[in-house]
Parts: sequence; C-alpha cells; structure tokens
Amino acid sequence: MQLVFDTNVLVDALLSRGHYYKHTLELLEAVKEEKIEGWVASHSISTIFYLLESTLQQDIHNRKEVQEIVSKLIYELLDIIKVIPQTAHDIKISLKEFESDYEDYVIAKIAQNYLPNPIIVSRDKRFDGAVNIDVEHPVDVKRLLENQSRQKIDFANLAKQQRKIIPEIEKNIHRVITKCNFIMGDEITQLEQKLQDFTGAKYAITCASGTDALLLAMMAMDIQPDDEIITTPFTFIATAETIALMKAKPVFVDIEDDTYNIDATKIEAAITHKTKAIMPVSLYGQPADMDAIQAIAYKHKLKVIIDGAQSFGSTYKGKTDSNLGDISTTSFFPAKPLGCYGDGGAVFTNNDEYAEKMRMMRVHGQNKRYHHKYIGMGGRLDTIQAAILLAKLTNYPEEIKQRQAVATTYSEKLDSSVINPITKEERSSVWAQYSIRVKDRDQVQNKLKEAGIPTAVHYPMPLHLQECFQYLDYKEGGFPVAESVSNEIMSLPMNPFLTEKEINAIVLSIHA
Amino acid sequence: MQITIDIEDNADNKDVVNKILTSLEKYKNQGVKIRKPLFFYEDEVDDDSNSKEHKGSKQAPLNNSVGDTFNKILGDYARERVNVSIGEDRMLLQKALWDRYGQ
Repeated sequence: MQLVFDTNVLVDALLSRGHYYKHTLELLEAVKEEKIEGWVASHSISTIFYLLESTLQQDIHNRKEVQEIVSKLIYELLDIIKVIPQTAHDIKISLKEFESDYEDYVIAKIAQNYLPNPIIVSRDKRFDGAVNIDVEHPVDVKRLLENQSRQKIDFANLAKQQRKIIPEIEKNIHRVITKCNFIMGDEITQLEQKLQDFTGAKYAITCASGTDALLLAMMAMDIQPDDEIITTPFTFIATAETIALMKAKPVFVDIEDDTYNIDATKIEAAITHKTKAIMPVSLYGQPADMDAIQAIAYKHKLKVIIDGAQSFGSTYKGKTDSNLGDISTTSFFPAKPLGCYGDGGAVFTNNDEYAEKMRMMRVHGQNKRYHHKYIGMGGRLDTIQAAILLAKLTNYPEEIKQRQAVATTYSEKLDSSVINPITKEERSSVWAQYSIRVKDRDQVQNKLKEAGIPTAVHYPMPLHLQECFQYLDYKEGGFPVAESVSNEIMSLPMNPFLTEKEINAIVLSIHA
Repeated sequence: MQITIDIEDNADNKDVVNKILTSLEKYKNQGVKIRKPLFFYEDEVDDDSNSKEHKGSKQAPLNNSVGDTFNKILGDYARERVNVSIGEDRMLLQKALWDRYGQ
C-alpha cells in the first residue's frame, strides 16, 4: 500500500492545522520509519507552496522570511515522502478525462500509473473520483493500516527498490537524455571509478552484459579453439555457452554438496595439457573455494576467470570476489543484486595488459577511431544503464546488509524439513538467491503458489545434460551432486525489502 | 484594473463570499471585464469532516518527531491553526494566484 497525500492534509501537518493534523503527522512518522510508503504528486508542490505562503503571510509580513520558511518546510517534507513523477502525457490525458477537478484527477491518475496499490489521503469530500482509486481520510487510513491484510509477496521487488530511489534515477536518466551522450558518456567513466573503489580492483571495465563480460575475459586471455576451460555444470548456461562460443571446450567438474559451487578437490583430476583456465562461479552470491582454486591454477599455470554474475559485492577473506582471480566478471541483469534496467555487465582485473585489451575489445578492438588492433565486439554498456547503476550503487551496501538479514531470518525460521543454504567461514554472500533443497519440490512449490508466494528453480537441469552440450558426450550420473541438487533445489523470494511478517508467511506455507 | 474589497475583521466565511460576489456583480454590471476565475466555495467553507471518527489526537509532538521538526522550522510562528476547510484553502490559493498572475 502506498499513501499519496493530498495537498490539504500535508498543509495541515506542516502548519498544525485543523482537527486532524496529528493523524497525518502520525502517518508521516510511519513513512519516515519506512513502515509504509508516502508520496505526493509533483503537481501538488506549488499548491502547497502557495497555501503555506498565504497562510503564513497572515502572521509574518516579511515575504522573504515567509518564503524561506516555506521552502524549508517543503524541503523537509520531501525528505520524508517521495514525489510521483509526472509526464506531459499524464497532463494531456488528465486534461481530456477529468470530470470535476483537474488537479485531483492528475494526482489520482499519476498515482495509479506509477504505484501498484495507491490510496489517496485527503480531507476533501469531493476529491475527483473519476479515476477508480481509494480516497481515505487521515483518521481512517490509520485504522486501514492496522487492519491491512498481507500484500502480495514479490520475488525480487525491483519496483519497491525503484520507488525508494526514484528521484536519483529520474535525475540521472534525464541528464543522459538531455546531453545525448548515449554511448560511452561521462556516466560510464564515473561508474567504472566507483566500481573500482567498491571492489578494490585496479580496473573495472563495464560492458553490455554478463555474457559479454565472460567473452571479453576469454578474448583478453587469447583462449583458442580446442583449449579446455574447467567449470561447474550447475550454473546458468552463459558460463559454459561462452566457452563454447570461443570454440573452446567446457570441462565440467562436480559441485560441493553444501555451497553448490565447484568442488575444488575434483579440479586437478580434470586438468589436461589443453587446459587453459578454471572458471568458478560464485553461485547464488557466494564465492567458491578460491584459495584452493588459486593454488591449483598456480601449480598448473592456469588462469582463473571468476563468473561473478550473481555475486557482485560478496567477499572471500575480506576481498570482494571482483578482486580475485586473473579476471572477474559480473552481470547487471535487472534481477541481479545490483541490476540495471536492461542488460549490463563488467569485468575486473588487476592486470594492466588484460585491462587494455578488454577496453579495446568491447569497442570492436579499436585503439583509436576506426583503427582496430584486435577483433572485438560491440560490447559497451549504454550510458543510460550506467546512470541507473550510479543511482543504485549508493544504496547497494545497505541493500547487501538487508539481503543478509533476510537470509539469516529464513535460516533461523526454516525447520529441518528443508536443507538451508550455508555461507562458509571467511566468505560473505550477497544472496542473489535464497535456495533451499526439498525432497518433494513440486509439492512445496504448489503449496507456495496456492498461498500466492512466487518461487523459482535455479537450475532444473545441469549443463552437462543440456541438449546443446550433447556433443561433449557427458552422461547422466556423470556429476551426481549437481544432478541431485538440480532435482531438489528451489529459490524463495529474496530481496532487501522482505519483512519478517512476509518471511513468516513463506515459512509457514513451507511447513504446512 | 485592481479592485479592493473591504472585508471587516470579524466577517465570517459567508460574509466574505457574499461581499465578493456582490462586488463582482457590481463591477460586471459596469462593464468591467472580470478575468479572475470564479469559484463558488460557499458550500465548502465549513470544516471538512468526512471521517468516520472526528476526534483529533491531543498529545504534543514528540522530540525529533516529524511535527517537532516542522515546528522548529516555523519557530515563533508555530501554533495550532483552527477553522480549516477546503473552501478556505481554495480561497487562499485563488488569492495567491490572483496576486501573482491575475493583474
């Protein structure tokens, strides 16, 4: 539920007006404590300004002083509630459709357009009801909040995340659009600097997707046809698909039974004279056993490429997994812990040569305009996606903590009928997924579905059994742990905004 | 042309409405073009009370509460204001807009 405050109740609260201002103040207090979302239509701000100004002019004769106070009041208010965006299209539609009050209609219309479950908080008995939207008096909203039934649980809740940072997103997108710097604009440089600061890696180079990030890493390492790269069969297809796209051979090694990451103790047995690299995946957000993997790589003179598509911000012995291996990659796919609004990715390295090559290769291998040193690709991140990521990155450390708190709550509440994910010592996970193992997955998923709780399976079939990899000649039973886990694994809703009440509802449905 | 309408200090809302309407009618009859949009708020001047529950909370704002923050900004001008109505707000708004754009 999102409260959209009408002009009258906000002026009441700001000026201690009327019989009901304390009720509105209580609602604003709840918004400030993030118990509920509070919004105001951008359309209302100038009206609030005029009303405050006119009212205060009855007490204060110095207009400049009045305006200063009014500005401060509204500024303070907008630290608590957020402004609903409004486009020229919203205005034109409202002009066409309104029945009795244009301003009311705009408020209702944009509230419906931008918010999933809005309620207008107003004292106005005649609020234009042309749009089918709930309008409640501040006194009644309080009661409504107390009695509200459980809202639909969202799997990743990107919409709520967006609503939290909408002013920064709007500002950043608008800046890119205004400057028309759509390709390799300033925001790319700014983001790469911030990614370097965040990860501790010497170089952060953005690119068009997590898949392109893996390709760039292998291109920089000059992976050749028939080279072998050791990786996990229990991951998203892109990991092995990119190896195959390079005409190299993915060589699978089974996974650990507890972290579901590649089992480092089984890697050496898979090494041949053709092996060039090891590609561990930080599945569900947790790094693999990097000390063991690095030691094997060092011993056999192999490179390490970390597929960190799900793990941006996770750590291994105090270092982010973007700052481990020869090259580390990540994905900014929207559902990832740090996601943009389309495809996006990045590569990280401390190696000067790799960095230089990957910078060129993402722009068709060019070292200066229309001069191409390498065969490359059109693999740049759009400036507009960088602008979105810049807005999101500010909140990301806090969101990681919130995800970790959600995971802890799940682990505490779920009983032994399920196998909970674990985080190994000296590692941290960013919890891209909270994936449990259950014996009767279909039944549990159906129970949750009936309760309105979304789930997913990451991943139902290991890669060695996929049709596209039949040519590798792996057989069922080849990787028993991966096969067993893929039959039992299921992911529960995971996002920074899951409340304890929601987690209780999910757990209750699993235990039922 | 700007017309000033004298309103007595103790005039109630209905007096104000009647006075404005009478004045506007008078000037209209004299051929003065009235540009100010007319809003008949006569039926809206009472305190709005569409709530099912009318009692307001009596406690003072807590320290560092939202209300306390607003009052700190208002400083000496922080006080409870009564007799609020949508009609009054519209009148104030019209006046503000008229002062700014209507002349």
